[in-house]
Amino acid sequence: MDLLRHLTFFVAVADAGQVGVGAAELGMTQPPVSQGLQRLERELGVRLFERNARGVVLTSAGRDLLPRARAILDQADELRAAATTGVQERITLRIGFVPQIPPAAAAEAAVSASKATEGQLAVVTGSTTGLLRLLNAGELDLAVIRHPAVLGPLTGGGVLRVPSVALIPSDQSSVGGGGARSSARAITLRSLADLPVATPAREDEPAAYDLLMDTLAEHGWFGRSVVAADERAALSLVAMGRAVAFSVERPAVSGVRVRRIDGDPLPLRLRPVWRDRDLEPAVVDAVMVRLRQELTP
Amino acid sequence: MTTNDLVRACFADAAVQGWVHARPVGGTREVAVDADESVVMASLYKLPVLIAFCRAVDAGQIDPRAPIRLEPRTRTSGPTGIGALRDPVTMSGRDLAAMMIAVSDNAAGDALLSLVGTTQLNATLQTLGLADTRISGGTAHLHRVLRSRLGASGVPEVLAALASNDEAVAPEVLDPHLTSSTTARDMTHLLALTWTDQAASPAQCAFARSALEGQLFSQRLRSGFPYSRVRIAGKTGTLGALRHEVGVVTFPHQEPVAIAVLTRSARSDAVLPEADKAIGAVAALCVRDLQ
Repeated sequence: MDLLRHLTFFVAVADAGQVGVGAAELGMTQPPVSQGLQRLERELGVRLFERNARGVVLTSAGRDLLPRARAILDQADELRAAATTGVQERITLRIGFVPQIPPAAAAEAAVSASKATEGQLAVVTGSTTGLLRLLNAGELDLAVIRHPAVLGPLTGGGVLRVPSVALIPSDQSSVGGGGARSSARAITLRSLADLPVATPAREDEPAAYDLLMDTLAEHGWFGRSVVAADERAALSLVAMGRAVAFSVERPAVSGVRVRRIDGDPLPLRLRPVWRDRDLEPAVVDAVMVRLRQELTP
Repeated sequence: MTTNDLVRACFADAAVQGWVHARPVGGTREVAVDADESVVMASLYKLPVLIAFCRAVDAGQIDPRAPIRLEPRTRTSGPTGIGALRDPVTMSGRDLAAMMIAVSDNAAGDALLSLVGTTQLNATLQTLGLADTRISGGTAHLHRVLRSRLGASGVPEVLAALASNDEAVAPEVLDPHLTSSTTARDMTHLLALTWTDQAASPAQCAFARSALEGQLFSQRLRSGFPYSRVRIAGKTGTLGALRHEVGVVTFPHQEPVAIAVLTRSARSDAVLPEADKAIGAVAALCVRDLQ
């Protein structure tokens, strides 16, 4: 007999006052629930319910046993929860990456960290603001964020400067200089003139956003921005001819031209940030060394 | 939202970390956001120097009118005032004090610090109850410390290293324990004493207030109160990502409010108008709360 299952029926029907309603609460039909209750009564050797025309009423034995049945079900829930927590506790490092880091590079860095900790990793993706919030809440051990950002009490490592390229719509021949022959030539930011720049929302990375817009203005570009939370959104906007974007990858997408930018003025600046001074420096090093290998020439 | 929430939101929007204390100069009500955390004070050290100078005048140790000659080779250089000049300058101590406050003159600041003496300055701060302020030296001292910590050959290299967004400034470079530091609460305490004639004699407190009212920079506290009838007195402090101003804001027919807003920006850029403006905006939030 499946005692837990039958106790679930007992509690549901007792709460509902009718077998049919109790069964419905469980997402079941009446016959298997009735049969289950009868089996439980045989097993325990007592009648739990009096059946009458309006439904069922607990017997005195039923009233006596109901709280114990609830306690057993609650303990079963706790058992399951504890088991799940046990699985989570085997995760030794929770690491976050900003979406500007390409998936392959993030995965390689995670594998390096995993070897350095000899443990299980959980990897999350989030904006710089979001990852810092998770770090401050103790829900993350290490994050690679976009520099600059306000760290407050958190600890930060050195900055990794990753060169970026401009992604330009193919059909905008005036933007960045046209023609297949010129594809190897670096463009200037000023030549991006008319299109908005696709970037994450300012609140996702306020200091990095302001630095981007100030750098563009410093180079003679005074356009507007359009929100693209990640590279997928940005790339789509570029492919549709609605924006330019900056990326550390060179995606092969129809409708998108990839151009180096003269002087690499808009690098992706990545910085490891952690909460606990006890975090093994070797783990941070493993992540950043791997990212450097993956992302810089 | 509470004033503290609004202050924190203002800092977050400007992408700076901030420390705040504000209080009426004669009262006990306050706005405090991390007001007791130690922060590298940069040129805020010139405010304690001003007060120690005033007290030394009161004690008859210093004649405020006696001329002091500053030679280009030995005085501290800087972007403003005498520190930016080429030839020898002779000035009275009290005029050096005015220069030190109005344009944050490094040459004047270090000259008055050596006149007062670091030991006597720290003793004065203890006497006045600034328990969390420690002056280990002036601008020349700070530049020496930064040069050695950054491995830089000169002050321009130091400033360039602090202004790069491609490198993170190591925590020990701006570690408050290793150089002159203060707290927002200590700064408003000193200002309140100055505005209630307790920091020195009434005459010398009046001199200190007039020097602070000569503050020339209007990007920070003043930017929050762009009204001619509101009086602002203050002293700024700037070093790399650190931007501070402490001062007193006086609305007509209202009790003066002492305010200290200390910030550290995420970006290293030498010019960040939004960070300067956040200091004024936060000060305005504090005054609104306290009046």
